[in-house]
Amino acid sequence: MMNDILKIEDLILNFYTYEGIVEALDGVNLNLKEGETLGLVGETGCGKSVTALSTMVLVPAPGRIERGHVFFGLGDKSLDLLSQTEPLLRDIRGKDISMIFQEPRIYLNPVYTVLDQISEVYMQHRMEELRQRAIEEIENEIKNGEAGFLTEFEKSMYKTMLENPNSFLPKIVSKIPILNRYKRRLKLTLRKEVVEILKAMEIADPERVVDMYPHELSGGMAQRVVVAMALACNPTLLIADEPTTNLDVTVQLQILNLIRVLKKKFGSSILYITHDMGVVAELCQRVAVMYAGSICEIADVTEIFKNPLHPYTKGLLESIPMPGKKFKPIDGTVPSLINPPTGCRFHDRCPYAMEICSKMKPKIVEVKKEHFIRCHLYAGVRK
Amino acid sequence: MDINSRWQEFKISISPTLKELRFTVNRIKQSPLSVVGLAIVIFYIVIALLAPVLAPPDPKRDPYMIPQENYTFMPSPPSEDHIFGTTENQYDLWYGCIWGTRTAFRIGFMVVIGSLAIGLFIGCTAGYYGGIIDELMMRFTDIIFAFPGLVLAMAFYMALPDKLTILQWSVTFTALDKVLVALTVVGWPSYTRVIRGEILRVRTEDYIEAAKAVGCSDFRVIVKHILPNSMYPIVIMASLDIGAIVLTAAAMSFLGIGAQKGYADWGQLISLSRNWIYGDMNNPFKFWHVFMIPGIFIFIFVLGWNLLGDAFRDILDPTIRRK
Amino acid sequence: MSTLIETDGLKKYYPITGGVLKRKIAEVKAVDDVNVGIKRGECFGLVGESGCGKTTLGKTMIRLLKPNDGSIYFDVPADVMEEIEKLTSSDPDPERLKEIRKQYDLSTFKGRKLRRIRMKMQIVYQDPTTSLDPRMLVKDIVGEPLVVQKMAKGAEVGERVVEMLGKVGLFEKQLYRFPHEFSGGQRQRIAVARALILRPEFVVLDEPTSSVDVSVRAQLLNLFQELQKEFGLTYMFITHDLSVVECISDRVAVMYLGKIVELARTEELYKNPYHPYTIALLSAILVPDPTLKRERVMLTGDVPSPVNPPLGCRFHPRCSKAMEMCRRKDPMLRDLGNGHFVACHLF
Repeated sequence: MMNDILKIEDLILNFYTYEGIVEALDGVNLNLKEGETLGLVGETGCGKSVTALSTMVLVPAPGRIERGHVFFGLGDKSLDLLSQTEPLLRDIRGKDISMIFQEPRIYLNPVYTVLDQISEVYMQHRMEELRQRAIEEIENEIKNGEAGFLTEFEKSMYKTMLENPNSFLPKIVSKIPILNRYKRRLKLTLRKEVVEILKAMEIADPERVVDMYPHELSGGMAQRVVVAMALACNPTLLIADEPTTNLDVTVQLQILNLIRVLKKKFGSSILYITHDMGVVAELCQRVAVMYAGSICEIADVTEIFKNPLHPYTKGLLESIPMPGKKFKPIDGTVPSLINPPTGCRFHDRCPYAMEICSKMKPKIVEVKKEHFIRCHLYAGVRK
Repeated sequence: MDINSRWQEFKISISPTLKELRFTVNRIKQSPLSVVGLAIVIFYIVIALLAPVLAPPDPKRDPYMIPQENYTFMPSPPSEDHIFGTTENQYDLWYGCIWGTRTAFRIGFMVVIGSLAIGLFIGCTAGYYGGIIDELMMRFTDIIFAFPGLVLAMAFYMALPDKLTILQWSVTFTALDKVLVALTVVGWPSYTRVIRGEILRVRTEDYIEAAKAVGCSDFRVIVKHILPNSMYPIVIMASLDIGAIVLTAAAMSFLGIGAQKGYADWGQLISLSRNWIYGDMNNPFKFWHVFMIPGIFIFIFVLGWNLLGDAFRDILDPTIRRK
Repeated sequence: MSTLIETDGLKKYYPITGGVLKRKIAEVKAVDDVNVGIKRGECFGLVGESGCGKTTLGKTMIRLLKPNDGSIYFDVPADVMEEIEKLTSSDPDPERLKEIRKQYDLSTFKGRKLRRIRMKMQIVYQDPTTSLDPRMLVKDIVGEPLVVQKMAKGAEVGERVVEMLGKVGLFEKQLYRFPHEFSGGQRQRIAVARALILRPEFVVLDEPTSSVDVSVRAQLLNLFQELQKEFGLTYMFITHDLSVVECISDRVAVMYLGKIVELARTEELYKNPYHPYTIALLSAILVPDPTLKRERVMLTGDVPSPVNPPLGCRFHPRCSKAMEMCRRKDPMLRDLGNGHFVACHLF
């Protein structure tokens, strides 16, 4: 029985804008098991990106989480991320939960090289380990008799930094010209680490790429760099927000393959957000379908393609253009979330809508084993 | 179509503009400083419109020439006859300040419109066509920009003759006209730069190419597509500029190169107060009314326009509009 | 079916300037010697990845961009086409050719002549948010072509706009709204209405469904097909989405770094791809069926930039079947029978 590494319960989120209150998330319930890839599918405006940002508690103003819990399993205890302090969250972000985004070149800082940006992740979370390694290296050198006249000094600097990360002494010494060479060792170690991780991303010639700026990278390379940043600290949970939408087909294939390989290697669980059902079929084990702020159906990937139950899921699958078939769109348009439809938000576009659909929101029902659905058509059915 | 449906259609056709207007007014209402700015400007507009009522002119004279009761050199303090007192040579301050409001608006608007017109023409052409036309025009603009503003204005003021005759037409320049021309010449480069920048930004948008795909001529593209989308920074700049121009004109008058003596212009009044700023041996503020009152008029006028300009900028900034 | 528009050796290069005096230091060969003919009434699909030049080709064909070299023949009668062929290949007569080109070759058109031919060719852009003037009302956006081409005046403009909006599925009361008040799919319909109001014969659809949601995509594709039937349009459907193009096009051309590498009828191309790049592209399509395990051909490296294309066959650095000849010579587009053209040394 696999544990849930992430469990979102009844998450309600509103955006307070000039034009009104946008009810972006209307009770989202989602769970992600350890080691699996969950696909979160939905169209523009359904709230999938907002859900992802909520997991990391990074929703920008004027958004505000009204209610709900985001349980994240850290080790063997699980925390409600929404009620944690900011320092703890900062520690978790990047180390235990990482996120990769849609347009990699926007999310990379254009004035820093690849080396600087990936190093930043290391320096934020793995400083101790690196310093420890530096000390071990120094001790090795002393043992082998390669010690220079500053080596003892270096060792003492690193030891101080290790014991007391905020100590004053290293900061002063780093300003003194000759003595601050002790930092070089750390820089070299960092560089080696970064090159290693770029190699793991299947980037050819990582030594050269490491010194490049984001605008010199192609879309595929930039996305790999972002993935490297996300996986640098071996996170338990990786959230991918449409990372291949803007890439060419052939590059998309490469990145998807990479994600698959890396998942096996690093053992992360992945929450993969997309609007492309093809990607979902290729990569994910379970699928959650989202519409206008709430999850309407969750099931195994084979189940959801073979046996879609929710009218929206059905409509979505049928509207995918297939050769030979006529195009079958879903009637109507995605509603504005400022005054969302009453009851089930899909009722005005649903070909099976009943009277109750406009009055009451349906509850989640487990229709088959591990197949959850939120629809009045199945309200009476229990496993 | 009969009248009724035509009226309906008219109402529908202006509804989006009305909605935008309502949005703008709402935003103004939200910020107290903007309301203050708007109030000040409206206050001055009212004064300017009611000038003949508030300070009745002598029908035989040019209303812009301030009346003098007598020709005593020393200014007299505020009294029953002269509400604000009189300045040197007994020019009535009340009359001067009231009619000066009209002059201020005239200076402000005419210079801004003139600068805008030149700036638009040069900026549009340079920005739209690019290449060597752009280079030539912008370098010319840079040259004008390189001159210190006030000095160039003074030079133009001196250079303009009282009467200019080209072929059959002759133009008379009063002193105030010379100020207007001088300030316009100095003011247009900044507009050019801003307009050109906006045009460069808008020029590469898809809808401009789409307009060309439909067969629009260059002129139509510029006037109907590019300009409406790049007007906002210009509107903001213009409203902030009006205050600055009035201030500069007042400075020029103070230096003696402004409107002619006795003209109803705030700068003129302050110029006349030059001898009286340091009052008497015993009482340094004996003649405070002579420079303070026109000074306050200028100060509040410029403040009002600045606040309004800031308000415009906050309201019309597209990045924070739909928040 | 007769050919509606045909290109001959079409080239579009973008200069890259550098240095103090802004001299040309390199060229982006966006479209490099493309010969393609589109038949009247068909839907011609053009696929390729980013940087391959498909958008540039579409825009150059309708003269939104001026080609550096080559000809574009639009709606030229068959006998004149025959004469042109004769004049270019077997019996050269530069004077006569120049005459004909001035009359028929779009690349020589200028000014009013060019503006007049614009009525017959239109384009729908990829992103409806940026392709509609945000400060204009819908009625003005859709009505502008009529006013500019002097085809209607005053009240008649309004009537025709309403008629057109009805055909794309929008209502009269939406005339007096701004584009930002509509959803993406609706904006795209407005763009289509604008493109079709002049009753053009040829419409370039530049990735029209890429910026909209999946459920709206089907709506738009239905709309395109209906309008094509109703108005007798000829489409050039540019996209990078191979699954969409399979459903809507009659013929498909695959483009890579400025050249067409394969061209065939849709069914034929998808069943029997010849060029290694086409095979790789087709295998990269992700089908929404988790049970279908496909043989994926993975290409090495990224899509190269068109600034310095590789010598010889442009695809050879990434091609698993590259031979010695591929490094030296650039293959020509050859007819393998049944209307299936390939540019590859393997064939």
